[in-house]
Amino acid sequence: MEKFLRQLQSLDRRWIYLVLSIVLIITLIKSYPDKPIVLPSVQHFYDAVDQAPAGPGQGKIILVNTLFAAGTIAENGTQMRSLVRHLMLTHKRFATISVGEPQGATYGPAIAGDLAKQYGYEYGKDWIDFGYQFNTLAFFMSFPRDIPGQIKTDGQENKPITSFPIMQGIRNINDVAMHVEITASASVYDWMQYVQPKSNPRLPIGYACTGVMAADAYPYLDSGQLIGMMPGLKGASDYEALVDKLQTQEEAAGHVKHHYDPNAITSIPAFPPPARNLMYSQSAAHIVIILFIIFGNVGLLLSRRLAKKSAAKEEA
Amino acid sequence: MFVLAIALSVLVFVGIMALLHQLSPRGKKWITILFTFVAGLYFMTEYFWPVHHIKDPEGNSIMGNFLTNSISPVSEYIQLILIWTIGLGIISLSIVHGQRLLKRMPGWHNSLAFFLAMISFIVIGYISHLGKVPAVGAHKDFLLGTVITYKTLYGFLVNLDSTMFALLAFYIASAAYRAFRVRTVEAGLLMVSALIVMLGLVSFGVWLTSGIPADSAWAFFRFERLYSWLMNWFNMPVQRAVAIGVAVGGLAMAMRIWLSLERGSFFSQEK
Repeated sequence: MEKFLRQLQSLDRRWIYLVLSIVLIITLIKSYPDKPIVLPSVQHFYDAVDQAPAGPGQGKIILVNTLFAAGTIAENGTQMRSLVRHLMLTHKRFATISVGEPQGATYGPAIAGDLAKQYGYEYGKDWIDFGYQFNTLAFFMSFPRDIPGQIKTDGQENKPITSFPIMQGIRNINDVAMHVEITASASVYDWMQYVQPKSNPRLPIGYACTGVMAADAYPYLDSGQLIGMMPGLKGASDYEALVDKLQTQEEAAGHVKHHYDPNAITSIPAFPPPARNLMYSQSAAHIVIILFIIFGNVGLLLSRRLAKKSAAKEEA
Repeated sequence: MFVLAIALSVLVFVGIMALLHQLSPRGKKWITILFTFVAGLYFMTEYFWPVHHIKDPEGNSIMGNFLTNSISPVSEYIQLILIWTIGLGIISLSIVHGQRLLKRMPGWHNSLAFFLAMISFIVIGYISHLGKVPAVGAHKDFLLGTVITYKTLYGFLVNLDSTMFALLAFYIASAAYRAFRVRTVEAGLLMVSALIVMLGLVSFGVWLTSGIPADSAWAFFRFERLYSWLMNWFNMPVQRAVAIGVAVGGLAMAMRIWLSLERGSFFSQEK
């Protein structure tokens, strides 16, 4: 008995790896869409995008900074997909940019470009790519004051950005209705420090981060510097559920010509499946981890009890 | 004209560098201190100086001060300096790894891998740029560039990057199993908090407490509510305190670097 309890406390890590691998493989192959209870921070994010004055004729754009690489595409890629679908369903004009992450400068416009084909969005008129930009203090000082002066050419066709219809009237940060930071690093703090104070009215910033970064952002949500947050895969799943609901409504109303194809992202090979399906795998992995934690603690408690009993016997 | 301008710039740069090189270590140190101070003063003044309506170079009315219109050119200048530093970095790395490779020092095969990776990615980068793939269908005429981009970026780099990140799940699972043991009251609290956060974020946890009606007096004990309570009432004040501490420390450090008081900066090892 004692031997078993000791084993329960110090399982070889390879057993943990094996069980987790089997669970993940099975749930990734066969998964079901999650039906999430939407987090308040995700609902605020969604509402802010909905209300942003970036529609045709409203004169502003939404800026989407894609600061992620392949390692976090399951979280950030699915966040980007849901956000862009929302922007396109609500006819918002937007620009993609990647300040400091070369892979993000590829992924952002690739996702937007593939979805644009499905939703009938036209490059240069409904959306534009600002391309890769150096992450320097000078950029953050200059960009809010003079967007065409800082960006100069677009990231896809290498033409002056002022030559695109979408950029008519876009001069400085006050012409940006909302900023969205889709990131795997602490980049949003630069936007809060240097860009947000230069805007009038205050620039709403939506934060789509990886799960491990979410805890740091709560003070900024409370202060209103962040208008909403999509934390990790859970945030992507919640946002996706809201967008799927909107899609159904728009399709029923006849506002959308084509049914949404979940495999629309073809420019990026093996792009992750819907976030709600991935949440199924994440749930299973969490259960496995919780079970292992329980095993370890049960072993610890029972072995302590056994030790106490044997000590009491020896005393007697 | 463009080539002439570049050649002239390079000549001027080399000339200035040659002149600076003649300076004594003390002279070099003071020049560095002076440039650091002026650069810091410029950005600080631009940020804090009161703003009013001014005209930008195109004649549009913007809010700014007497330094605002110079920010864009200065920012471009800083980008140029960054590009030079990338070049310097490549030269420096090549010298270090080149020596290790030529002398067959321990770990020379890592240096070889460095050269292979660097050269191949520079070449691939240029080829890919010619055959840019796109998001919007631009420049699709250069098929080789497109193929190479797919094979290297999506077939190689992306998979390596994803694999590195995916390994974390296994390490976290193993670490959680070993770390979360109720040996003390504090460890118990930590474990319970971790379990609530994990269960509050996944549908399984939500399902476990879904029997508690959302509008009842006991709704607080639903995992998603407990999760929000923990994050908003315990996590947030701690994060705020840490952020304030880090900001004050960062300000002190910035002042020391700006005024060149920080030990270890700028030739401090030289007598």
